[in-house]
Parts: sequence; structure tokens; C-alpha cells
Amino acid sequence: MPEKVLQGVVGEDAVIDRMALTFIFNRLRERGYTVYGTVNEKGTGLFRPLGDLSDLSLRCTGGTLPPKHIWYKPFETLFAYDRVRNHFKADVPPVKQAVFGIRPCDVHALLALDEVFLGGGYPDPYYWARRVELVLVVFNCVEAGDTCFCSSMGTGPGLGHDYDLLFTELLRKDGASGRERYLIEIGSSAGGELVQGLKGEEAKQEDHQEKRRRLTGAGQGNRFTLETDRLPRLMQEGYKHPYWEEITNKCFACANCTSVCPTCYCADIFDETDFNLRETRRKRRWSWCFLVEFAAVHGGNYREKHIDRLRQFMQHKLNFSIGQHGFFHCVGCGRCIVWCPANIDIAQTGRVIRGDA
Amino acid sequence: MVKIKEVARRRPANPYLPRPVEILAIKDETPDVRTYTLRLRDGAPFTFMPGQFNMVSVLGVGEAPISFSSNPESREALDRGIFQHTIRAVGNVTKALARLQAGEQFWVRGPYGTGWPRDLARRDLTIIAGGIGLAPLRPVILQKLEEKGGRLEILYGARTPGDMIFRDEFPDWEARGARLLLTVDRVPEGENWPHRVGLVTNWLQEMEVRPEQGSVFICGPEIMMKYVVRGLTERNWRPQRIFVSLERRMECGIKICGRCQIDSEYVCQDGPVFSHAVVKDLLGTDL
Repeated sequence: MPEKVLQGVVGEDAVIDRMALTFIFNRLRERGYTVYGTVNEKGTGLFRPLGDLSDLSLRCTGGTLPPKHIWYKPFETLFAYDRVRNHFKADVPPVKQAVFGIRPCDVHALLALDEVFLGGGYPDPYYWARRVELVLVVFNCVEAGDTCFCSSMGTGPGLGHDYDLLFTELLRKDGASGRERYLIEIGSSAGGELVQGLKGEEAKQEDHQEKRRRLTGAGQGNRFTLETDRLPRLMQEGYKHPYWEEITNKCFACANCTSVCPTCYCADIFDETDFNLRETRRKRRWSWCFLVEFAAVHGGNYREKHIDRLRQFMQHKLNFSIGQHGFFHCVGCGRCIVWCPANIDIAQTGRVIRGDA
Repeated sequence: MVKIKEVARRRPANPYLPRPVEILAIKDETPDVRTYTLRLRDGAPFTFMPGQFNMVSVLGVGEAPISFSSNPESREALDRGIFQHTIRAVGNVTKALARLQAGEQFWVRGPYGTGWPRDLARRDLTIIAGGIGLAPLRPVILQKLEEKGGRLEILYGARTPGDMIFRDEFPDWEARGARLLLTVDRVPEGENWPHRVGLVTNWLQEMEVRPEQGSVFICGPEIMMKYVVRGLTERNWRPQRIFVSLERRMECGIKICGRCQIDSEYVCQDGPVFSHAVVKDLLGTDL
């Protein structure tokens, strides 16, 4: 097997073994990055800062919860105002963060949030500070999770862009499945810098064929499907479809779906003041269109009815987001399906409204 | 699509920081509505379009979207950066504002959103407003009174005569050529009210501005706007000539917090002024 030392050039590839993960992890740590990865906590896959690479659990297909909190904090201070000094404090230095084992669907979700936070007339400096130096070490999915439908949404199981480093698990040399051999591809100069000098093997045509085969297999493993052709228009026309009533009757309005959605970005902004009244902090926290007060104003509530709130969530993901950004804000990660205590399923809803189910 | 490498080069300015404004004067319009005459503390010029709004802050209480009620082209606006907000004390922020006195300050950031279409405002125009909804239309009225082009009629309704804002200005508006059609839901006992009684929709028949030449700008409770728009549509008004200013909950004003979404529109930046041609097809409002 010809050995290869990676030069760190964009587009370069190699076949590497598990030790390469340690190499990249250590290099990120040396460069001062906080490295996030999926950690298995009692069966729940969560993106946590990794103290040690052995904490990383690549078994959790995208993580039970998304990595959104890494670039969009559940709570953050937009500014602090000191009354005595008449001074605003709003310093946001860029942070060096890396995500190890982020999956293609979550990268698409990140790109959706890029549009929301950075694509308008007033870019958000807090999101910017966590985003600009973010390093994405992406793992393509070679097996599908139980509720995935990324192949319907065009967001997986493989990623073709916007990665710094891309890993695809290959079969072991004895032909068995296992997390030992990977095809690595460099997607950016930042990614290249991290693997410069890393030793591996020359990637052969068969390795790329195997990558394609495994991704096709994972795509076919998507048990959920949703045809997206004409979907926004059919969702628009299906606004009064009786199925909305049917699922509203089951829905607890618990907001789990919106809480675990990797593209939900709505927020509540509020003031908090010290007991001595000296400092006021204006804060932002995640909020969800499922909450009854979400669209309330002094004289009433624009989405007081439960059905309107459920419909807002799904219509936004499968319809309104197209009008806003030109792509779906549903990436087919299936987390809202996993977390729904009433077994409400956004893909099924889309199929019913389309007339496919 | 956002290209992160291009975005990375420049740190965005912080859009959440408000600027202090000094209250130059406060005028009581009704028992719970006041007009605040304001200027930025640092004296910087402040420009806006009629129909736009500021996010108004009382630090420690919160922020609320409030539209401008003054003429941005008046002498005091152009020379001294003076502007006005007319605010009803109904929520936490607006009640905190109501406790402030002239000489004190609060905070603003803006202006945000779309304005009333300037070209159509210069031609024949009917303004239809309910209650505090006259505030975001006063800039249009004041501009138009200066211009003398195209007729101006104002159909204004409120619960009682005492709930009407800018009442002391009506004689001047009429003297300068505006046609006022005033109506109230009810007249308190003993009060003399020489005008109309009933919903504004009952008085659409008195409009003199014709659908072929004119436009209609509407602001008021959504239920009122809904029936006004229906009445106008029955009278052959085309949706392209009807404009409404929508209210929604807003927490950022800059298309990020997500609170004001209707269908694919963000009321804060795509609105608050919308053509009825856009609004009539939106899911989530039956205007």
C-alpha cells in the first residue's frame, strides 16, 4: 500500500486510520480550539466539549440533540449597560470552536442559520463571532438513523461542500464494518492546515467507489421519505387540510419539536437588572412558535389557537422558508419525530398534505 | 447564499445597541396616549420615512416597536433632527415611558421597515385609521398638507370622541384642504358630537377619492382593516392601491428574532406597510 503524507491542499484525499483522529484532535487543541463532539450520555448523543477523544461517540448518528448551541447560544447577553458609568459593554471576540463528527444534515442546518443571522441587512455579531473561525470536521453518514429523511431533503447522507475536513468510514481490510479506516477529504485551507503532515495511504478509485456505495446504502436506509417537488405550493394550498385538525388533536403543544430543531432560530429578548440597579443586561434566549405567548401583543394574540401554532412550525419548515431563503428549513434530521410524545411526524404530514399518503 | 469566508472579513456593527433620545416635550393626546417630541442626545440628524418605526427602549424594562408620528421633512426635522412618537401606555415599556417627563431620556434604534409609498401619497389619497392607528399616518398627512397635490380625505374612527388622537390639529388639517370624516362607536352622555357614529366601514360610501385615481392607506386593529379592505374591494378598489400597516410582536426589528413572521414575510423589515396585493395571499392573516 503506497504511503501518503498529506500536504494539506484543498481537494486532497487519503485513506487514514483511527489514529488520524487523535492527530487532528490534538492539533486543534494545540491551536486553542474548543473541540465539540458527540458524547454518549446514558444513551443520549449530545454535542459537548471533548476533554479527551475517547469521549467521542460516533455511534450517535447526528446526535440526539443538534449542535446548534455551539454557534447560537440558548442564552446570551446582547449588551450590558452600566448606569453609573453610562457605558455599554458589548464585546464579542471571535471564538475558536471545532465540531468533530458533525453530520451533513447539521451542516445544512448551519448554512440555513448563516442566512438568518448573517444574510440580512443587520448581521448578528454574536453569531458571527462563533461562526467565523468554526471548523467543521464532518462525518458522512454510512448508516441511517431511525427517523432520518435527509436523502429526501437533499441534505445527506453525504456532503459535497462547506466542510473543512470530510470523513467517510470505509470497511476494514478484512471486509468487516468498523470504525477503523476512513477516507479523508480536505475542503478548505483551514482543514488542510490541520492535517498537514498526517500520514495515510493513497486513496484509490475503489475507496471512492466504496464511499459512494456506502452513502447510497445509507440513503436507501432512510425509512422516512418526503417528495419535495412542488411541496411548498401544495403546503400553501393545503393550509386548511383536515389533517391539521387531526394532528392538532394529538399534539401536546410541548414545543419539543421546535426545541430540538437544528434550524429553529426564534428568540425572546428581555432585560435583566442587578439588584442594586446599576447594570442592565439585555439578553436573548431561544423561543419557539409553539409557545402560546409567542405571537401575543397587548391587545390579543395572532396565533392563539393551537392549530395555528402547529401549522406555523411545519409550514415554516416545508413552505415559508422557501419564500424566505430559497431552500427548506427542514434538513430531514428527524429529531422532531424522535422527540414528539404524540408521534407526530413532519414527513408524514408533508406526505398527507401532498396527497402521497 | 452567505459565503462565510467573505462575511468573516468584517465584524458586523452591533445592531442591538440603542441610542439615547432626549424628551423635548410631551403632549397628552388622550388619557393614555402621549406624543413625545424627541431628539438624539448627541444632536445627530435623524431621518426616516413615514410608516417606519423605531425599537424604543426603557433600559431595564424592555423594548417595543413604535412608529413615527411626525413629518420627516418639517423644518425642525431637517434642521434640528427632531421627530415624534405617539405612544399608548398599554404594555410594560409604554407604561414605563408614560412615567417619564420632559428633559428625561429613553433609548431608540432604527428606523426600521418599509414606508408608505411616496409616489401614491402624492396623488389622490384616502387615509382610513382606527384609534392609535392614526399615528403612523400623521407623517403622510403632514407631508401632503405641505404639498398641495392630489386630494386628501381622512376617515378616522375611535371608540369615543375622547379616544381620538391629534384632535386639536383637525381644524388646521381641514383649513389646509383635508376632508375629514370622523366617526365614533359611541358618544358619552352629555357630550356634543356633530360627526358620525358607527364603524368606519359604515362610512366608506362617503369616500370621494375614486378607485381609478387614488390610493387608500389603512392602519388600525386588524379586524377593522379586514372589513375595510373587504368594503373597498366591493367598491372596485384594486389590491395594488390598498396599503395596510400591520402589527405583530417584534423583539429585534431586524429579521432575526423570528417573532413577526407571517407566511414568508417579516413584518419588521418586509413591512410593516404592505400592499394588499401581497397581504391577501399570506397564510396566517385573513386580511
